[in-house]
Amino acid sequence: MSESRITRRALIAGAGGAALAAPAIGQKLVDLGLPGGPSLRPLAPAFPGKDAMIVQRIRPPLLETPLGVLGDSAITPNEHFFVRWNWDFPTAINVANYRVAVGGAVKQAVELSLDDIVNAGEPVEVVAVNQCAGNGRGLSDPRVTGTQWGNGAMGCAKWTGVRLKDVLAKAGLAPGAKRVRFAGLDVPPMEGAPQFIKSVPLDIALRDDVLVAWGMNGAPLPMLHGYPLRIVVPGWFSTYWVKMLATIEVLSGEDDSYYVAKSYRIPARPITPEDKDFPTVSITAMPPRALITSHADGAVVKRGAPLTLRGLALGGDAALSRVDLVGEGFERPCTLGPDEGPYAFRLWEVTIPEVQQDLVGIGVRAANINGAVQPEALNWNPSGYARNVIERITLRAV
Amino acid sequence: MSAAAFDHALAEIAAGRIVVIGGDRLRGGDIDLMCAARHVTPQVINFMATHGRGLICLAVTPKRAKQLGLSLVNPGTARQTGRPFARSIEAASGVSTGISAADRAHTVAVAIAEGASAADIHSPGHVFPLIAQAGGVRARPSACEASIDLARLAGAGDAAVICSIMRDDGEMARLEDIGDLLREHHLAVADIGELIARLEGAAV
Repeated sequence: MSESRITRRALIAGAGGAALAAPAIGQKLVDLGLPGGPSLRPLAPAFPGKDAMIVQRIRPPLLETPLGVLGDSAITPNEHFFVRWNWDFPTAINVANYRVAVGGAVKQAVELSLDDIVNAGEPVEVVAVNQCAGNGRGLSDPRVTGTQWGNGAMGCAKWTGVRLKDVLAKAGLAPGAKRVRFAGLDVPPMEGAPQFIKSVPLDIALRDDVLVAWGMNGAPLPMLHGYPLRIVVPGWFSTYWVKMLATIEVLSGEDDSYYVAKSYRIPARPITPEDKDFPTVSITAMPPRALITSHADGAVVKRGAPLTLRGLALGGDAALSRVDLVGEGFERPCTLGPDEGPYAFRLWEVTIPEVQQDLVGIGVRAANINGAVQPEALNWNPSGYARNVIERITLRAV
Repeated sequence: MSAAAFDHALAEIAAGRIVVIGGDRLRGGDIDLMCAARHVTPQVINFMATHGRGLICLAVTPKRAKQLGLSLVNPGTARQTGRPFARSIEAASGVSTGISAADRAHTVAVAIAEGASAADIHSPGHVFPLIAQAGGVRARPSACEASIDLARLAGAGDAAVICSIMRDDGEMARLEDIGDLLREHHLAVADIGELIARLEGAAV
């Protein structure tokens, strides 16, 4: 580990470049409808390569996608894609000097250039949802600590890269290899804070669709999304999709690093807010979710007329099987849009032939082919992870 | 956290500067600004109110609390907040409305004066005393106890003023939120885990 740290420091020194200038925040505010605490956030277009985004934090940036934009297409444009960094990161990378160190429990530790990695295997494209483990945390009730995201901390992109297993083959796995850990060029600005490093079990690392990616929607990865390389783990929360990849470390034992052993964990079994001292497990695969994006809570619709609702859904770690509109005493299947693959967003729509009264507490419920279905009640946990309760809104008929 | 970084934090405390306490195990990861109480000035209080924005508290030993006639508001085990609050206090004289930075710094100075007694303070007031466990941070790994042990290790008395750090959006900050603050004000970070290791190492 000390060797890879040195490499990381050297890379940062070589990268140069000034810290990301804090953008000026405009006056336009968005109401995230958070049940507790301040709910308004500035909407700012001032980040490089970004259109209007909800600013949760300037540095390191936490940028949320406005919900209306999210429902426009199954593929989220890069300029609208949410951004989440744990620590500051370089704003310039010298690609000529850039290396990814592959070490740990391997036959031969290697340092790979960008070209080495691009040529490590056949290029692979995967369309997959990248979702923050804390997406929707701000809607938790009772409220929990942490960034108060609405539901816009997710997006879906076409990722291009090589298989991680082809990159690992450059070093060769040693007997006893158990997990594969990733570190990026983002580092804490103070001593005493843990580095953001994450690991996945070996069977996940060797999947055919787990990538070391350089492309996002046909473009090079933007700096804010981890230029030049990031990990892609379709079906798993984005905490594992380490950005600005610097090291790949094969572990022969368990991972006791902070962001695996102490953080990004959920109760092993359902708990209540009163529970203390319960066993926890790492948050990994995503459950199914669906959102209505065509109408906001409280919107007015025409009484006596047909109403078409639209939105998006994801199956999580398995393909979406169906989406149903649910309300008091009724359910109605939704029509699914084009299928971009098992890990992609899928648009849906449904038409109510005639709106007769207010539509109180309606929502959409996604299910995946493994039988996972969105629950009626929030699976509350103290970090607000993996929210997938059916999201409900009320529409007023006038 | 390296020993050198921890020593740097101690030197900062000894010099009367504000440091950040991280690694609180009882308050869900909240972090605090800290200054040895004997070094508290109106400028220190103003800095905490501006950049910390949490409640400005005075951490004292059980001995000092007794001297001032203070006891825990809730002595039970089911405390909600993770802070061992006594009733709030104000200097009995020398303050106006009690809330200004100068007034609060004065109240702190009065409360930690060598011969201070219950007669020197009034309640309620604008300074919130916290009564640490007698066993210090090894008995209770939280910022209140840590601040007193840090002050002691730095040779800066046995009381400290602490203030939790809130983000612009009202959420409680983590270290990852305050990089700019650390850089702009050259604040050192003292980790509670390192403090405990240091105390346990010394005890062996």
